[in-house]
Amino acid sequence: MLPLLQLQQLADSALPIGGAAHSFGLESLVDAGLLNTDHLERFLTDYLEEAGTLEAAYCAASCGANLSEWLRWNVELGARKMARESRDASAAMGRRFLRLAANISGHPLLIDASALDAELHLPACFGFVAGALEICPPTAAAAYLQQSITTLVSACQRLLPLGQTRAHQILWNLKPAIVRAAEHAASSTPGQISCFTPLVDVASARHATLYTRLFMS
Amino acid sequence: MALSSNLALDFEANGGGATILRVREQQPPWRVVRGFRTPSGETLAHVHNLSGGILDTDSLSWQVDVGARAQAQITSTGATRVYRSRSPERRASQRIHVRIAADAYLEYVPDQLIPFAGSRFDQTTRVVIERGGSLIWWDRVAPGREASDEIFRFDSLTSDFELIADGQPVAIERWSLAPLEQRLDSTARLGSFRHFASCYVCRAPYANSDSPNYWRTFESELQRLADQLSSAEVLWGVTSLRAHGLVIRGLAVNGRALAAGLVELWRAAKWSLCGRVATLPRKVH
Repeated sequence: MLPLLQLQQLADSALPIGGAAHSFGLESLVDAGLLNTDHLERFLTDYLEEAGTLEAAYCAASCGANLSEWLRWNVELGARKMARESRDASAAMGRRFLRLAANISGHPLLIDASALDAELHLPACFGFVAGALEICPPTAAAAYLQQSITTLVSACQRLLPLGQTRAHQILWNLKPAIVRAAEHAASSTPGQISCFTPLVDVASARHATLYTRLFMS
Repeated sequence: MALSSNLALDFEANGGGATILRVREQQPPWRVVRGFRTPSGETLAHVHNLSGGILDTDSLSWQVDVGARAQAQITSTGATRVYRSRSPERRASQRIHVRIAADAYLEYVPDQLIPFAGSRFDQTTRVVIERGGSLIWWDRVAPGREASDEIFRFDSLTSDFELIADGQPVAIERWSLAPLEQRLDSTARLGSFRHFASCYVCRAPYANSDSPNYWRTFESELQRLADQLSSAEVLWGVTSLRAHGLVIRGLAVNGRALAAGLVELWRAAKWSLCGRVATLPRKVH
């Protein structure tokens, strides 16, 4: 029971790791008129099949990994994240997440890991922390996706006419897609997972040149 | 039964500053049209598939070695057509392995890939760049034979692309398209666009030879051009890789707009990367 409560705390999208500052390309999609409230749920379902499953696979692989394996997963995930702004956001949030988890848990493995001077990404950090709490990989992957999708929906509430009730309905409706993505990710190795999100990648690449921006990515 | 066909090309710099193309192995259907010297100094190899396209029993492979100080350009003689698979268990495949040695340069500028209705094709590419080596590598994919109204009617198309520079992975792309099972027109994938392209620009530096901001500046310059080339019909984005390079991505409603923009961005990228003018392979003049 205790590890699940701890995981629930760390999976809160309001965790102070900088999630509210990033849209991961969604701001550019909205700006270009390519994403609207009516299509948001379908978009997020497809996003979960692609980028969501990819990130969940690295989260699951990092859950219970030793330090050297885990560092390798971080490097590989960095190479698979094409868009610089989204990759930088993932790295900044990953480091903050790990530092916060190490500080509040006092777990020696997490303290050692947070002292490393290396490229770290949020999905891998989330999985690594979950492993230290003895959470199983599918549960860690599902919790990670819950946090990640909640962050994206929250970003959309600031970008689109999307109220609280509808936002929560979308999050509720996405639960089966989260479970599918987490189960697929946890039963595969990261190298087996494909990801095809060219429009999101291009949108993320174009974000830096938007005339006005609410988000850092 | 799968038919294996291998092509092995070596590009070697001679003492006089020229690059010699040696065809180490050339099994049908591959045929390499002799090496031409481009105006910017590369040796150009046209790779021709004599069977006119990729058959469902094909298991094709390339090994390309660009030796120290060699300068190479590789293109195709036409679009790569992937023909319909005659039964569900038949899949065509192609594996490409490239090594670029110190101070060598390769640009790979093929025509587009056209997967026909009912085709199944897996392509695997691994490019290794050693210190001082540079690369420009593009790929373009069409949705099918548009003139025959074949839009995303292939069964399966997969790509596994790995770019290693100075011993570390800088870009890994693995995607799998199955239009009957996926919504390719989702905003999470292609949206209303049908054609897509990637162009990798990369250099494995000698220690500290590129400043930390080198690729960010390069990215900003190219993104300005990308913005100029973008419209409702075609969208371009430029972004730095995790190290030693950047990728240009394009999406378009039609292939012509994509090809034209890709050439403009290639010219700008090549000038910034190595200070040389990009010249299109002669076939399209």
